[in-house]
Amino acid sequence: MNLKKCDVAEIIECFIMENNLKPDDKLPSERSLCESSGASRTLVRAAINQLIQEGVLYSRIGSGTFIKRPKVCRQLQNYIPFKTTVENEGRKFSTSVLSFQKIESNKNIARHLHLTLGYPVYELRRLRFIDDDPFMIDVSYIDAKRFEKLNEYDFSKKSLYKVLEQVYHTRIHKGQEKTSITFASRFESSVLSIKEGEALFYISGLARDENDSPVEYAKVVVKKDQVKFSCYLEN
Amino acid sequence: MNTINYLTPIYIQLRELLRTKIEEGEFPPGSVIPSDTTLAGQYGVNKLTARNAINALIGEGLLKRVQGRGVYVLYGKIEQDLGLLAGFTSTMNRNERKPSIKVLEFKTRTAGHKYATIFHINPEDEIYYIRRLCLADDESTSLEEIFIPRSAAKRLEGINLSIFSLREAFNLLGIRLERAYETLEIVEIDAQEARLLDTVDQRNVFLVRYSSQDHNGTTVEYGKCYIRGDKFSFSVNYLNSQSKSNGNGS
Repeated sequence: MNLKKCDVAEIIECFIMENNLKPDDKLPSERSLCESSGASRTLVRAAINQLIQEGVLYSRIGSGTFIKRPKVCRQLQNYIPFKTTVENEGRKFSTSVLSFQKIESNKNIARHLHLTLGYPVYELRRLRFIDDDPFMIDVSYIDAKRFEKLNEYDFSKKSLYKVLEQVYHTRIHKGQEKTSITFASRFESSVLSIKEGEALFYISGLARDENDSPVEYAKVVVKKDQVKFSCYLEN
Repeated sequence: MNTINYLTPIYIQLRELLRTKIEEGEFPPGSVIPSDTTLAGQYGVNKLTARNAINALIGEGLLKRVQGRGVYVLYGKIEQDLGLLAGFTSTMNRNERKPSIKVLEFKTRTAGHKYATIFHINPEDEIYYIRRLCLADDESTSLEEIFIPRSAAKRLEGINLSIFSLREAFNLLGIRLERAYETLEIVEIDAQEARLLDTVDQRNVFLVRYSSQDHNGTTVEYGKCYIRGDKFSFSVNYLNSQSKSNGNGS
């Protein structure tokens, strides 16, 4: 039988389905998988590595390989707070504020928010956790004159959008987001507990109110191992 | 950034002049810019000055020196709008890139448990398997595996998928795609896959998994696609359709 890595990965996935294995259940040993699939040790190992990369399995040195909890799936088209997405999957979401200061807009911020160069904006940097593991750094820029005294609120406990709506009567109606791959800087790697240069999602976005005016310009980095994004497309 | 004026060092003036020509399309992406000798002669500057200006833009990622060929203007990223149900070819055309596809493997196989579940068919039923490399302007951009139930696309094997895009093939077979569900992740691929995608130095790529349905709600394709992160970015427009927190209906 001329088996390929993808065939062995599929055999393992079918095994998981047929035996109804749940997150944290243990996978049979490599030797046992070799025997039942007829594939070489090298091929089984490569297939397991692929499934680890894809978030289907995780391994504990000395203990074996286990079924991984699916990545938190964030839907992209209808705005749902990340907190709600995480909690709906039965997990804990928390935030800490890294910094919150008033700065002058540079060309990039000014252009996105339709402000002039040097216009005062708040820069709010937050670190988000899933089950107490840091997974996302969120940097938001907001007009400091329009949203005066925004820095009086504790955004480790409150939601930014809720405060904008309830206090400033500004509701986020729609927005655009662009996702690409970036590599962790020294600061990001230390805060997210990963190696410098590791791949991350980089999402830049602009949220607008009901009058279509820009409200928040955000630059976000997200670790790749806990989260995936989803989308429904229609013709 | 300071404004460029007549007092600015000449190599910076030349650098900014070249940058403008690139941004305004006089030197379009994929084209070779004039050599440093030509530029030196054209603007009456030292050849070393011209080289410095070019090297500065290479360092910024706008240009790329290719041994024996010259200095090329690089492409920006291809932007895929996640809201549109668009195939590879139409995304390329929308971004003004030349699409080409290399079919690496095409075969018929039994579905097995995993794909039987995805397509709601029996594990003994047959499915098509296509493995292909997609290129934009002759540069590898994505490596795909596509699974299609035979019952949904009879006679697919009669269509040459090196010539026709998959969307065109579906059109020819009378299949109309209505909706799709897609997920986006970042994963690290292995050495062999990285070689195919020509991204040996950077093995982290996007993984897009998608399944598409026709107007009857039948899943007619399931795809798994590795996409180079230096070639692609994904954009989406979203709406906040939650009801307002002050109780008013929307």
